[in-house]
Amino acid sequence: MKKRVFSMIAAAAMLTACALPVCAEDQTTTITATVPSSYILTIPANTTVAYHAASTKLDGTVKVTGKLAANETVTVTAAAGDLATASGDKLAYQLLKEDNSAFTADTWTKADVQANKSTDVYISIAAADWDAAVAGNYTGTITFTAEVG
Amino acid sequence: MKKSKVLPLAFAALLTTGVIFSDGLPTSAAGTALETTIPDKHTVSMEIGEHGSIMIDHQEYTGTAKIDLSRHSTVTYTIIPETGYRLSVFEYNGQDCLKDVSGQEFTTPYISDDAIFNIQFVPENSETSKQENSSSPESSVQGSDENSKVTSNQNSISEGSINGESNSGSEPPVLTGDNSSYGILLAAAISGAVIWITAKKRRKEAES
Repeated sequence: MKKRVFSMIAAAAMLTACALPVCAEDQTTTITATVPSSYILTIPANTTVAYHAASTKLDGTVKVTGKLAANETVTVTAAAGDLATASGDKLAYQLLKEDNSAFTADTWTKADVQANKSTDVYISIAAADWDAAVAGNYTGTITFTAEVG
Repeated sequence: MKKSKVLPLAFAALLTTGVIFSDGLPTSAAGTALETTIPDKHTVSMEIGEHGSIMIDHQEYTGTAKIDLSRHSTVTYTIIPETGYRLSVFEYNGQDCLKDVSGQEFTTPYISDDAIFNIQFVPENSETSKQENSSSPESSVQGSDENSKVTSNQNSISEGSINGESNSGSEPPVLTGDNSSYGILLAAAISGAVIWITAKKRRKEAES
């Protein structure tokens, strides 16, 4: 019996607290909501380079999608790891953009993301390097890193 | 008592998740794997013209041939023209390497890719014949190349314009063209001489 009375009193107290007094004067309530930024970095798929190919386009593009704030950017950098055999023989290569300039980093702004900007990346291996390389299977990894600025 | 423990924990977890989202975006990284294979052998295709052959490692090749060579190896080609012929074309991947042939041998650079050789032979003095040809057509009959001789002789026979199905009969061949004009002149000269001699004889008889 005591519990029931206590509950009713508590409910009445809560209702009282929620009921704001209405005055004749206009009042405003500021509502704040934060939509967090999010992005997806898309990178090219694994790529096989044909023997003696001077230039090979990676299978896919580098692309940033998602929601960025107006003042935010996503910078994507690429680190070209060694293309080497299991025994350590190396084959030098470069990462290039479509205009043959070196691909080291690229930046996506909010506008770039909205415009679906994407970047093709190419592997360039000089004929002299092909000729000098010893026979074998070469593997390597290009690491793409995205950072919000 | 249990509810009072669970609720604060759930609330704390919610706050933590919210911090991750609202705090910004973590740095992320991903990799694209690359792969390539460099062969340990390369195919060398050879187009060897008639009247000669190529010897590689004691193996003789003629016509169209293909061989597999180890990467980064060098190969010495021994060029063997037939008697009366010489090497005229030696192309390596479309590039003229004739000047690089030393004696009868050519050593390739380090092989690092498939290659194509084009090797051709011509009669030894075919260039000389061409030069003589331009100055005197008759001299084309001369030369050490027997095929050229036969062809030239045949040409001279046809140029002679022997008209008739067979020359085996008793009738002399009828000459036409330039040679026939000589025959007509000869016949006219003989006729004239006969007429002149006959007329002279008659005049002597008349005088006597």
